[in-house]
Amino acid sequence: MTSVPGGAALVRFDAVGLGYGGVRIIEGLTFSVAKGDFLGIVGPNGAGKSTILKAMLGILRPAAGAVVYEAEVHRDLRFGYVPQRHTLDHIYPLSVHAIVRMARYARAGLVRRPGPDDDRAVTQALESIDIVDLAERRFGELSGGQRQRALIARALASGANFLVLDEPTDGMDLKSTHGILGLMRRLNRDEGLTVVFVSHQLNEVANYVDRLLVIDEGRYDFGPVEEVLTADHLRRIYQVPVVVDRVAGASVVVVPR
Amino acid sequence: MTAMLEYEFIRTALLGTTAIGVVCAYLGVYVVLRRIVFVGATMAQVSSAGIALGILTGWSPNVWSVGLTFLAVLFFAHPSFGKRWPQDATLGVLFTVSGAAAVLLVAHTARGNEEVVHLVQGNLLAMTGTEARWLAMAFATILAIHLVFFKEFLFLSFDPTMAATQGYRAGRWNLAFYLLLGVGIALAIKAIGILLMFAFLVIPAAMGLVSTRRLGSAIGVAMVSAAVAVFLGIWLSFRYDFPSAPMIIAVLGGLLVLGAAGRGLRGPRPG
Repeated sequence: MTSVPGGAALVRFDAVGLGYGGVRIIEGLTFSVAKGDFLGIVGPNGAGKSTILKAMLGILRPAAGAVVYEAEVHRDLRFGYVPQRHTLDHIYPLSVHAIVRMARYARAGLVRRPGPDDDRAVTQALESIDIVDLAERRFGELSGGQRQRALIARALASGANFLVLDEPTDGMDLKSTHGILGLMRRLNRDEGLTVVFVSHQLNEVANYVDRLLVIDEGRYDFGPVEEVLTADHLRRIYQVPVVVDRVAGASVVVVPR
Repeated sequence: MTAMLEYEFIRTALLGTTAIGVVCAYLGVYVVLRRIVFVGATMAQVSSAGIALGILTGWSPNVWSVGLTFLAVLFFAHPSFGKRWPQDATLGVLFTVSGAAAVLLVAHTARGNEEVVHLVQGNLLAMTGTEARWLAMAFATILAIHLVFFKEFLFLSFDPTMAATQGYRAGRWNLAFYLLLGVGIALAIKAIGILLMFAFLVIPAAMGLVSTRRLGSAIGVAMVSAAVAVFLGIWLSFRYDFPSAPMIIAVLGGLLVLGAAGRGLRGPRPG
């Protein structure tokens, strides 16, 4: 990680190249996340969306370029990571409370157990997501939407001011999807959290976020939704004819027959 | 039942085997939850090849066993393990080659066939008092390290990526986990054989996870069932003149069936 003085961005990707074991997935990626941003990263499976998140979180070193953190806010930058829920094994006999409490482990320090302050933070996080009634339920027995809420509560319990979510609505039905997206928007607007998440569902994401980063096969486009969500921009990225229309006040992207 | 306690070799076997069983049961809960049961089996086989090498060379089977297992640990804990080549295929190759190596290495020694049987079945009644006390201390140390770093091992097992974002070095903790497991396996094999060690690693954990709803309870049930199985198994083998290790495994299997049946009788769990 590097931090530089000046600039409005909390995190800036400067011509970043990313990959694993010598295989580059992404080249020359440049974009930034400002304080209070609500950014959606959209692309097909395998496009490198989760890889971008790992680089943002500092757990994957760029193969080229730099991920730059704003110097003045770097000290206060607290990431709350929400993994893809299916990457967590449901055979672990852990309650929602126990899983949310994990967010306090690092603060408690090596060897020491979380104390009363940590338990209060856990309760507050459960309350803010409105899942106090699920606290003693086993994580593996919850629905997809409930699991996602539990993981968001865990990210909040860490004291995060910057939420990073990996495919939070993947595999969810319509109601749960909009419930989770609405919750993320509330956390962004009402709680002032910076929110970045990835998805492969452009139509879902575009109507909630303020800014979009669309990637596909090495091509990418970044900017405010109204700039990126145009037929010309999307045609360049996806290399297919695209129509962007409005239905019941929402943007809809379709590929015409 | 207590009559067998009059014999020192029985008391020695009880001490050493209970220490191994209880701690392997604890480690086994993680082995089952992390879905690395076959990794455990392969480590055991690699470890047995090390013991065979020790028998062949006449120089400390324990050191050879721990050394080879350490190499296997470095391999299993490496981030690339299972990514370039299917994990189960790699494990299958290692398992069979190590098993064959163990048999071949002792085949022309003075007690070749006997050594092979010993490696598989163990001979826990032949344990010396010094060996049992040393094993008890070694396994107590492994358990103590795990308990001291309980929250770290749990977090890193359940969600290593989230843990990494919180500042934990996921790779190093993974290596530490495999090292403790590898040392435990290597020490256990020499004393109780592959079969019983592997049974301790899987059956009590399965019982704990099948019959309870919380991790703490699952660990408790696993450790207690291992201790009960050791005592009952040795008593049954003493009373009816059967080999001890297979009898302990039979008791573990029986306890698992009882636990599963008990859960079935209790009906579906509330949500």
